[in-house]
Amino acid sequence: MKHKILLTVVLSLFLGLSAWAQEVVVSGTITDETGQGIPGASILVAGTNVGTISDLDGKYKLNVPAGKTKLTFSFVGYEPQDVEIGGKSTIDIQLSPDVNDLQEVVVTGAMGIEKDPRKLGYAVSTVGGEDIVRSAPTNVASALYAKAPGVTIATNPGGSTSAVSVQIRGLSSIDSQRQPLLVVDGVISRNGEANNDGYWSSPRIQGNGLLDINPENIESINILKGAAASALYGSDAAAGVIVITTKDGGASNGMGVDFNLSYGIERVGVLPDVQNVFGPGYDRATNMSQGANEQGWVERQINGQTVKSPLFNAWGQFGPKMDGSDVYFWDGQIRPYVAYEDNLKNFYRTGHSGIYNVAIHNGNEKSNYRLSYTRNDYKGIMEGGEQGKNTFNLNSKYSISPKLNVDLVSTYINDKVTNRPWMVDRISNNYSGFINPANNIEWYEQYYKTSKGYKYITAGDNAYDPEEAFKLPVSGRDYMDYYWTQRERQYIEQTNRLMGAMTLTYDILDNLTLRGRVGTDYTGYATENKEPNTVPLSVNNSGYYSTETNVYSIFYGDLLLSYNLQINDKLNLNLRGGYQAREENYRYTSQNTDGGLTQENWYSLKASRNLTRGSSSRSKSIKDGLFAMASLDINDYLFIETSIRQERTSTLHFENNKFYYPSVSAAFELSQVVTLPAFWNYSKIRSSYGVVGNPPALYRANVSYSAYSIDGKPALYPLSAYGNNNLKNEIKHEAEIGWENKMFNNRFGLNLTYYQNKINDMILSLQVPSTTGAGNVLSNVGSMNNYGFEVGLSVTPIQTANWNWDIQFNTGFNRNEVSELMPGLETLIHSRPDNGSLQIVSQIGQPAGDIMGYTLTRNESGELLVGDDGYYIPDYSKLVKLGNVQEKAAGGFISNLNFKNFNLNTVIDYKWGAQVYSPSIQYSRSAGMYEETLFGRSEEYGGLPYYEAADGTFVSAPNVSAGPNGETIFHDGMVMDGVNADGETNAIIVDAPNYYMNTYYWGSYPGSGLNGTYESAVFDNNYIKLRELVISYTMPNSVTKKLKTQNLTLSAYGRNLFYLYKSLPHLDPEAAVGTNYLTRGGIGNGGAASRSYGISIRASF
Amino acid sequence: MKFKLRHISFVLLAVLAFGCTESDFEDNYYDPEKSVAASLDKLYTGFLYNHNLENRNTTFPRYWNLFTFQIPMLGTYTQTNGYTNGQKIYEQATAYNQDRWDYYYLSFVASYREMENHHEAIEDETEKEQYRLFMETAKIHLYEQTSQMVDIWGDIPFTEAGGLITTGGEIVRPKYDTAEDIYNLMLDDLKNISDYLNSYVPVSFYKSAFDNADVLHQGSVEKWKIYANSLRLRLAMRISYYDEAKAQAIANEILTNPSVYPVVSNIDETVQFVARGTELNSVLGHHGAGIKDATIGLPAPGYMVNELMVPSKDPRLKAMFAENKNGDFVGVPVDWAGSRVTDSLSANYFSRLDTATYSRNDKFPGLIISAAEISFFKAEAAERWGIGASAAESYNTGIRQAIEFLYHINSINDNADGTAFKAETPPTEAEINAFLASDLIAYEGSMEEKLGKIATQQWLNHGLMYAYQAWSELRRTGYPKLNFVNDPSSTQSSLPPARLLYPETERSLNTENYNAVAAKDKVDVKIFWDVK
Repeated sequence: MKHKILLTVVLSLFLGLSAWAQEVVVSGTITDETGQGIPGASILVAGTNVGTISDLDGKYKLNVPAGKTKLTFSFVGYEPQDVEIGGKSTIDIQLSPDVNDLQEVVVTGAMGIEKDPRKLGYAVSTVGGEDIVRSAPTNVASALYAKAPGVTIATNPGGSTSAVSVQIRGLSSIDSQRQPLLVVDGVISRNGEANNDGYWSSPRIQGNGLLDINPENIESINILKGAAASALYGSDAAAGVIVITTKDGGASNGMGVDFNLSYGIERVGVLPDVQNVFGPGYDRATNMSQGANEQGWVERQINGQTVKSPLFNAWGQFGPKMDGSDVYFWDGQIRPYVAYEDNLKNFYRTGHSGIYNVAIHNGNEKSNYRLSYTRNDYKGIMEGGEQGKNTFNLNSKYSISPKLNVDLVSTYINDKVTNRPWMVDRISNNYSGFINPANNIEWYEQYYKTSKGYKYITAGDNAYDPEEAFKLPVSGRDYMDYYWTQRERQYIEQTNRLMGAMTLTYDILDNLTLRGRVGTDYTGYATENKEPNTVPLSVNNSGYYSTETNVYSIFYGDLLLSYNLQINDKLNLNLRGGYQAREENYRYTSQNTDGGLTQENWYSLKASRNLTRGSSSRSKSIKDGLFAMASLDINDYLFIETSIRQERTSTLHFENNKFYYPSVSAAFELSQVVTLPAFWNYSKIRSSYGVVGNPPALYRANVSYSAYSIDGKPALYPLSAYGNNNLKNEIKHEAEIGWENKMFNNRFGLNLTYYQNKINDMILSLQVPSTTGAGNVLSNVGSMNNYGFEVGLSVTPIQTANWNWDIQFNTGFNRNEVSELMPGLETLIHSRPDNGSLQIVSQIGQPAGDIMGYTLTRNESGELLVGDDGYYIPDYSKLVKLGNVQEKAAGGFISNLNFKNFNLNTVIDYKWGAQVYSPSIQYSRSAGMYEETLFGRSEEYGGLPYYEAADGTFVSAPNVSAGPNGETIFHDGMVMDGVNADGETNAIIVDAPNYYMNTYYWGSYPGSGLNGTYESAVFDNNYIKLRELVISYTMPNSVTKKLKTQNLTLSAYGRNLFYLYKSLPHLDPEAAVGTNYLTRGGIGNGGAASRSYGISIRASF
Repeated sequence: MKFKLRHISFVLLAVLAFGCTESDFEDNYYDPEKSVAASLDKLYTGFLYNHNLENRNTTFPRYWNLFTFQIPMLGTYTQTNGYTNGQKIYEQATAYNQDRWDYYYLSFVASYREMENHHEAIEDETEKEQYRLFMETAKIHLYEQTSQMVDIWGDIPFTEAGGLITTGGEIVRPKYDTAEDIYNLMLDDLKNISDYLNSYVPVSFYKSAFDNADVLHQGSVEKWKIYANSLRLRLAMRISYYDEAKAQAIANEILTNPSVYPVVSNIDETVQFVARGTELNSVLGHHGAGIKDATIGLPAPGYMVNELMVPSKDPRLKAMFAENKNGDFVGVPVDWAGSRVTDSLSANYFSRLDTATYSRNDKFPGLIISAAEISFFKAEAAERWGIGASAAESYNTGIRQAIEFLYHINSINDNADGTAFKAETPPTEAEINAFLASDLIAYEGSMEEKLGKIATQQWLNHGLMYAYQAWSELRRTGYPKLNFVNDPSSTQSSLPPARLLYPETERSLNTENYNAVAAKDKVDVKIFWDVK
């Protein structure tokens, strides 16, 4: 539709310019329903190709050839009008909105079938290209926040090389959650998951396939949310489908050039609120067991001088207060004992992002093309991670004959990433990794390697180079490891990806079309890993070099035959049938050195001290489907559609790999049938039902053995993941109803959807105790359902000559419930962080992903019980639900305000209703890292005075300078708020360091002996964020003409700017890593999220 | 029309190129990198050396087993390595308990059950009887591994364990067998196995399959007998303070019938995986660098060096430890404050593990039962029950075998790790005699003192690498008398525990059966044989 209008406009422009100047001249103004001039509206002399377009104020002037009597006025989104000239020389015309053309774009649905949105019986969200590039995002998905109701985005920390997770309408699988199917220009493309197995299996923050889709090339994104919308994709569609159409050359009749340049910087966003008062150390007893005095000072003789140091290797931060006194540091220097408050801020750096894009396009009725090149330069806020990416895109259409058209789309992406961000797990979730405020992180940056270029030498490991070794053991060395990893090692990833599709469309008859499409998505991914020698060769063998090659390819093809039958003037029948097949291949090979490098820092397999080692693997999956579809239009107000797909997949045992996926939908245009009030322009009711599926991951269902050779003898092992040859697909049934409305001349729009789905035969990798002989078993177990509500609201409160203000509000609410598990299984345990201090489970009657944990013991009246030791008493008798990892609502608000040539665009998004658990907050509190742990440590922070009696108990001692027997008065007493077993108010004093260390320490499980539970590690994770803020100025025509450009826009943008509200302390609510809902339930070990701001220039020539 | 057909065929051609057939789906169901078929002999080899979890291997010195599990936990509870006082030093790394537990069930139990399935399925009677050799010898090794489990946890699932493999996918949550029942079962069955091996008549076709698959003993039935009897003696001695009559009867049966029940009697008969080839070596390139990364730079233990070996001029010192900066052998005293230890470590005041014998010795074997261990058991049996040769003779033989074997290990280092070590010169007969006559060593004193000396040498012989056995012997005998510093920072274990805590999966996934033993799941509940 858009193309047609564009064509008309361009055509008329072209013809208008070349018209003869001898005829009648007609002029006038074209206005909209409010009386404002419409610029760019088209005026065509009926029956000719003569025409023109209106100027910025809506004025036009046109030479009408002799004998012509009628003019046609038209503009996108407005009802065209024919007007008799009747001898008039001035014709002013007011256009009224076309209620039947609500959206200018057609919707590209499943199998690339274009649909009129009016006829859809299900919800499809469409996002235009211009809304994606506005704030210069580094990838498509992170530009989708708040733009489509029911679509939830989660970005991983680390910047442009990190994966983005998209979830559509809640959770579609309890155990095999996948990213939505990605379809680019009709071809199923590689997307994928990232970082769902935790730090140890993949410490670098990985990307996924969606990142390669260049925002600059996108014409539109259509998100197929429900099962009916996506049923033609069958087994691939359970998580929804993202259909991306790239820009083509249009019919510009002459070469056009688009140019865009964006440059921005990135800075760290949210950082923890750390305390900067106390240095390293523990409670008094532990200090003394470590050889320090009660305050935590160790005295040593260094070169005949007595010097003092705190316990620099302590993980606790309960040591002496930083008083500026002279202290002997671990590097052998004497410095004042002061706090370095910006360590974490300095750990993250300032990054930058540059996007440079140029596109040329040209087209006419017979052919068109668009060729673009984009360069992305990126450096994130985390160490390493520099990226350089080139994207070449060619989109061309050619009409071989009037009936045979060919489309050729290809994208080539060349990407190089060096040292993609490494998760901060070892410095956030690890007691030895904490940096204490008495240390300056710059020293860690300085000392992570020796002056000779080797890895740092700890105090206890100084045999080979005592000069360079640290003088004292020090905590936080994981920061040095981090610097070593990200600055000295080189992990280089080179990706070459080619995505291409060729489509032939043959209009056999006017109403019979055959379309064939072949496509590929080929990724060649090679890495090199260069790890320098950490010690001299004379001391030990070290250093490592490896090279890896991954080839991932998708070969795709489909065939579609469409037949349209106009039965009579009220009935139109459209029949379609087709076949689709896809093969995915993956190959991996690697070679690495073994036993160190024979020559320092010589990165070659030739440098391997032992024989090199290698490995390889391959996998191949095949899917195909036969499908048929029928659409019936009745009276142009009732649209019924039904489809069926029969599918086979190689990931299931060949005796049970065939599935059927039906769908049916109807749209009923109420406004055509019922007389609605005048302000109510349009109303449509839609409903649909469909079935989609989700197969197990490749080879997961196999029952087989792994094989090795031991001392030349063949050996076999049963797998700890036991398969299941009888496995079936997960099947999702979904029904939805919706209601679309337009009112007040389209200035108010309301789109409501209610959906309900049920997922049966869920494929669970059932965790079993290893005492059964396996770690997990694959089976089809139980059911889960979702229901939800989506609201899309658009309002144009202001629309005047100079002002225009559009507001959009999109939100989705989802409720998820596990309705059935296997008999005898009430609770499915997904993970058990910290030895079962928490359990992440799914249980019948609750949403999947409950966070279960232990709470403190209370008496019958609900008061907290305090034990004889003065501490709370964990109740390990039962697990209590502390939260759930799924959000209940997500969406946002988009405001677009125009004033003359200025535009201000604001995107605010929110998520609500989920909880997260954060071991890193728990550990940091136990170590006394955070501000709130100051409480009770000294008088100034509310600490109570007491002395230690001879029997070791603490006796309250207010307002005295010594105890009755001259005991020292300490000021770090705390009294737990609660009652003892007799119901009396607790008055037992405990000391603050022990309180924090024993309450928040790692691992509160039965038998752990801790005084706290992980209830304190679970947080609400609600937020409202100012996601995008863009102010732009479009140069007026007078300027652009001088600059010989058609369009010139300058913008300043900010992305991920700040939180208007967040409930999670210390961390960014989005700092979780992974694309899986369960993985993202834990937060704190990935890295910090960044905020970006910059400028961009957009011009067309 | 011709033009149209050309168009259509153009489109169809593309489709034909990718249309799928039935066989495409069959051919691509199974992972090409996995084996769909299995046979008993290959499973047997896999059972003996669990390559898929080799980093947790408990016989070969592997990085995970030593560095993350054995040294920081069992080694600390037994003082077989030097450690620094710090926070929560006796607390258990529960995630590693989990991995250790899973290792046993996912490799030994799962493989053994899979072997049972395959053995059961053999239809030919002769073949089935001949393959019994695989099953019976596998059981010996299974029992050795099982006893390690019982010794650290107590009651464990055993008879019902691995039921998922037996049933082909059904989830059978196993009950816990009591530690005592498991010991009795093993002691009885090891006798049966030994008798079976004595009566075994090979058929060469099947025997050659066994020879090929047996990566531990290369098909030597005699060595399997030695393994079975030596293990049975070890288990009997372990329960000897709990059920002395039974232990005594078993020891008597074995030690008085050496021709029927041979045990390890010299270092050539050591039950061990000899390090060889690319998988069965010790400084591995895969799964970390094995013994090297696990032990390099480890400081020497205090009691062992300072109070036992240095005063008695133990000739093993130079092969076990490196001298400190002053040329002395010094271990880390357990009662020094943390910062004093770290300062002294920085000053190179402490000895560290010898790199030639341990850390960088690619040929360090996968030791299961040593000759010295059996000799010390003989000495104990003689001392307590008067069985066999004189206690003093067995005791001295044990020490000599311990010294000999240590120097043997030192001598087999072939510098495969790029080093340039020369083998240490073994002590002379005079040095050994002087050592045997020294106060701390000489077999003198009351019976209790003598038993203490045997147990102390047993502990020392298990040494730096076999804390499993050392910890069990320490708990069983109470020797050597070690001091432990109270850790004020721990609310769980202010002193070493008597057992390890069960892993979390049992609590949450095998709950019903776990609940039956939950009352015993405490750090201070002793294993049934730990009564002295």
